[in-house]
Amino acid sequence: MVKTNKGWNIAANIVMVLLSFLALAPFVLLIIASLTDESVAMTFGYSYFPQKWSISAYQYIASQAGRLGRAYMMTILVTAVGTGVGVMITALLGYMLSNPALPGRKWLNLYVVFTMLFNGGLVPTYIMYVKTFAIKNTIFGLIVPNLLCSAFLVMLVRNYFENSIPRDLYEAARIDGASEFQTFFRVALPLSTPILATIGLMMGLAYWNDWQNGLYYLSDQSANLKTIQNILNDINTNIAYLASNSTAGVSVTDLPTQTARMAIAVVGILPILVIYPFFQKYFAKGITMGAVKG
Amino acid sequence: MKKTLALVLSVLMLAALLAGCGSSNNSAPAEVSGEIDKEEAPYEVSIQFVGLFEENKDIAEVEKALNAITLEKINCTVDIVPVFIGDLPTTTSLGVAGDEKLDVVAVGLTSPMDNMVSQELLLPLDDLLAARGQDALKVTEHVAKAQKINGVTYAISGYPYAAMCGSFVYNKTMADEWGLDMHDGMTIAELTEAAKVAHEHGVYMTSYSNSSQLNYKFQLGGDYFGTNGAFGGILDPANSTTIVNVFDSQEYRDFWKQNKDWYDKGYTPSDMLTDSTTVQELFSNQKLFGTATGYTTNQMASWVNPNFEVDIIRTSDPIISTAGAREFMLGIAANCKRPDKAMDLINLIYADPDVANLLMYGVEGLDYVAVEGTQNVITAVGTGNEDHNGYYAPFVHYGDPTAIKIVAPLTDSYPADTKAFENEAKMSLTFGYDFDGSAFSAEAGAIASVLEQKLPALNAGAVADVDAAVDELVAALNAAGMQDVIDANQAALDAWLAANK
Amino acid sequence: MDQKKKKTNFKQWIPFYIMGLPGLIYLFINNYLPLAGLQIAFKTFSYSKGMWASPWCGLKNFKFLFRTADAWIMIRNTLLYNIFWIILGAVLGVTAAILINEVVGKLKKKFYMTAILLPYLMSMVVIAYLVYAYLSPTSGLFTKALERWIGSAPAFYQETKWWPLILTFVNQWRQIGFGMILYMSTILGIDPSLYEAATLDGATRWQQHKKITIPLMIPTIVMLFILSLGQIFRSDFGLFYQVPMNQGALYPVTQTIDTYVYRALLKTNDVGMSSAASFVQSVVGFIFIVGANKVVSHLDENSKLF
Repeated sequence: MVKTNKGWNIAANIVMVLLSFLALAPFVLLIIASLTDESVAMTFGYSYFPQKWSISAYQYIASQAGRLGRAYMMTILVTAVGTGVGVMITALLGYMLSNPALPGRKWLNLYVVFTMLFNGGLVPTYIMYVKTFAIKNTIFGLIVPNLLCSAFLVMLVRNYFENSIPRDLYEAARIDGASEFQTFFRVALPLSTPILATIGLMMGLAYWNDWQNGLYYLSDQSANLKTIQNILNDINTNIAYLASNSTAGVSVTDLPTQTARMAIAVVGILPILVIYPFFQKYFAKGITMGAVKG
Repeated sequence: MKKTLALVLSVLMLAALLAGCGSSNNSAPAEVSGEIDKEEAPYEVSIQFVGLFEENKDIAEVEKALNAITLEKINCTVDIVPVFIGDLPTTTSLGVAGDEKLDVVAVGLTSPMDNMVSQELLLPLDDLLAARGQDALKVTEHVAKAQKINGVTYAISGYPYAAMCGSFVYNKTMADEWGLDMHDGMTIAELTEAAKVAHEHGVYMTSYSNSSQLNYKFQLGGDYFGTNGAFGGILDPANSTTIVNVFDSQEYRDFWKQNKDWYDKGYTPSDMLTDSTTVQELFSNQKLFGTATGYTTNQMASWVNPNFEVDIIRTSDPIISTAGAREFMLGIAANCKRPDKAMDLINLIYADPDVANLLMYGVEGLDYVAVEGTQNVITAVGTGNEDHNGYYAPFVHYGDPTAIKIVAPLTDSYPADTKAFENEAKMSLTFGYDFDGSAFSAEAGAIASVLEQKLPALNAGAVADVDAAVDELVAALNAAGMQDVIDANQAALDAWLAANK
Repeated sequence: MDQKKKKTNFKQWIPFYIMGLPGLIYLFINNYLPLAGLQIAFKTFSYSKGMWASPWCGLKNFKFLFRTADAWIMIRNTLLYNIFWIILGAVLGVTAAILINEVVGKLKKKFYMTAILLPYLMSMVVIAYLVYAYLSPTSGLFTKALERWIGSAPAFYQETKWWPLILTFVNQWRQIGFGMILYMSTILGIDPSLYEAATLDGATRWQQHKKITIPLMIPTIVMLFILSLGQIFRSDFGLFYQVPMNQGALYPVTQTIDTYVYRALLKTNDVGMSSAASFVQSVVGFIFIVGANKVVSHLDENSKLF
């Protein structure tokens, strides 16, 4: 937006402070809960001012997963590759669908939207990926299934290309002799950083938080491929079993069940919080469309 | 051009997929010989090892020690495949669906045998057992009926001592301090007296946490069909074969009234319905005096605590039930390529205690040491396995439990105790019978949903009026079709009883 | 002549098809090939036989959905929550997006955006524990505060009347950061010269938003609306199951189709029945999406989805 407006700025700040407070208050509680002594948490519940602090939850996580560092690297690798490839595929498909004159557009749109509605379920998907594509226990098992390209994001991109970038810009490029691919890479992509950042963020979060692919497509033989969410999910389930199953024969006295769950959430979220602000510059980038046009 | 190419490619992939799915996995040999072929290249038998998240870093050592025995005796090697208990049901079913290498699989625990059989995940074992499983048959003989569904054996009990009774495990240090006399066969009235004393000392008697699990079954026994008795149950299984809606029985009403009484008096935590802290945690943290649990001779081992003494009292007569015999079992996956070798390994587990010991506890010296002054008792304390990072099998049982080593705090009297307890137990009159509820899957779903909704509050005693709540529960269960299922169940049981006279 | 023109026309589109091809192929493999699995809903599934060889069983797998006396309650809950939240989500998302664009100062903006996205990063299980930390009858921070201020606090986990409000709050609280970013990307795509022209014409900020921002966001809003209708028979399982702590007393306002399916199949893990439920949800979503698209294409040709 061009000029700032004082009244709106103040009103916006008030609302945003309020929203931020609503979001931050529980998050702070989450962090404090992860640092609360287990028996205090059990007796008095969580509080912003716990009677006794403890880092045993984090110690437990660290002791359970010497593979934590490796898992972080795996997550970063999978997220980066998956998001990079995914954004490209999605942007290209969205760009194709955004052209109103494209023959067969209506059916191609339906083809894409249909995938949001019906799915074959886990078992057929699994059989196909494992038997036909043999991705079990490979890194592709973490990247390919279900996350690479979703109809929702394709539609979002299509919508942006269609409504936010004037068609005559493409025409101008074409008249200048640019090929379709050049038009896409030199005109469409640079003008669409906000939407690319948006779908990149959504895809990145989906990859970062995904544990199901790891659960299904990795077995214990490929434990070194596990991502951080797989490890955290395993620890979580593990604690639940230890704490509730008397056949386990393990003393649960010093098991930080509840606080560890909170610590696990913190360990999963914190890296995103570190990276996200750097990422945000793509949202803030003002569109210089006027300049292109002029 | 490229689009056409892609189309062709896609069609090819589709064809590959169809072909892949169409092929049948059933490759069980028609005839099973009892001979072990010593000439062939040794087959590697995989065996599921259900455990926790721990790394089990000694698995290679265990395999090496096992192979030394198995190569010589049955000409095969062993591949121990750790399966995290949380993943067990998906691992086995997806493994069969994807035709991955699976041989000996864990049955029971989180994937009950009847479910696995109805989903066709297991091979029938009778021919294999007859030809190469004599030792396994011998050890599990008296629970053989429970290993069958519709007359076909699908799994072998990993812990063939199936007797179980209701019991109450409690903090003995507290009881001694308060001068409480806890003894076998305590009545509800006596337990309520104990609860009052505990309450005076600021400790909850027990907690019925937020689950629809039937605590009644642990406190007072009984035989149940379907999940949580959804297909009915028999409250006095040693003497009766009448299946009833247990939730509509006087016993249950009384049980729930007692729970409400305790809840109202503050003997149980007021927030147990929403608090996710488990009973085990509360007990370990000394916030509970005790809890109801199923009693077996090794149950004590689950409750030992470094901070206080624990003891257990029995509250009902022991019963051998189908469900008890099916808790830990071994089966062979439906897509197993060499069922004969898988059976050889299963049989060897029962025939050779060394094999069972290795699978259960790992390598001596590395994962456990003998406790001095005992014959057969071992402990992981003092070894590298103390934190269970070396080799740890908490969810499986292998071999004859009276013939293999035992872990402290159990003592050398354990085999004799176990046999005595088994002999003392009465056989459920319906032992070996199980209801095939597949025709009632819709009802089972609706019933399960009703139980999820209404049982926890009743179990906790957190209802305003027990009678009204029970009437409501029973009405909802009948609306879900429970009586129809029970009638069908009774008819099937009567037919089974007539056939098994 | 005519023929030739068509041919060149088609040639002109080839680069476009090539661009779309990787995505189309991926969707074909990931989403269309496994659709063969839809037949599981009509079969007694056997893992060893595979889906093609498993025997057909007619509509038996669908029966459990209607066997319960509460079928109407769960359908009502699913539909009402969804419709209300779709509308509320759009209103709050658009408002937040417009407002964050009015904030002056890069650092402030970054802070707000990061903070408001936080709830979206937490899993429902963790959110459920946090909600419980505030509303627990014995130790809840909010219940204790209420007791201090007004002397008493309601038993949240036992009274149904609070839950439409609590669930709505948690849902919007979690989604608003996501919605804000979605709509913000559209606002960032608006040509700034439009605002410059309006300012010159003396339009107030309010008028600018009314005349420029919102009309230009309509295609996105409508598209997201239609897409959400496709999920109208589905629900956020974690929100309805974990957050109310699975309390039986709250089922009248928390039971949705997904929670019922989960509860009914919890122990049996029946693939056929869960496929059947999912099939019904898909068909209803499909009907809604096609219907909404028809209506929209009559109103505004540009906003239709296909």
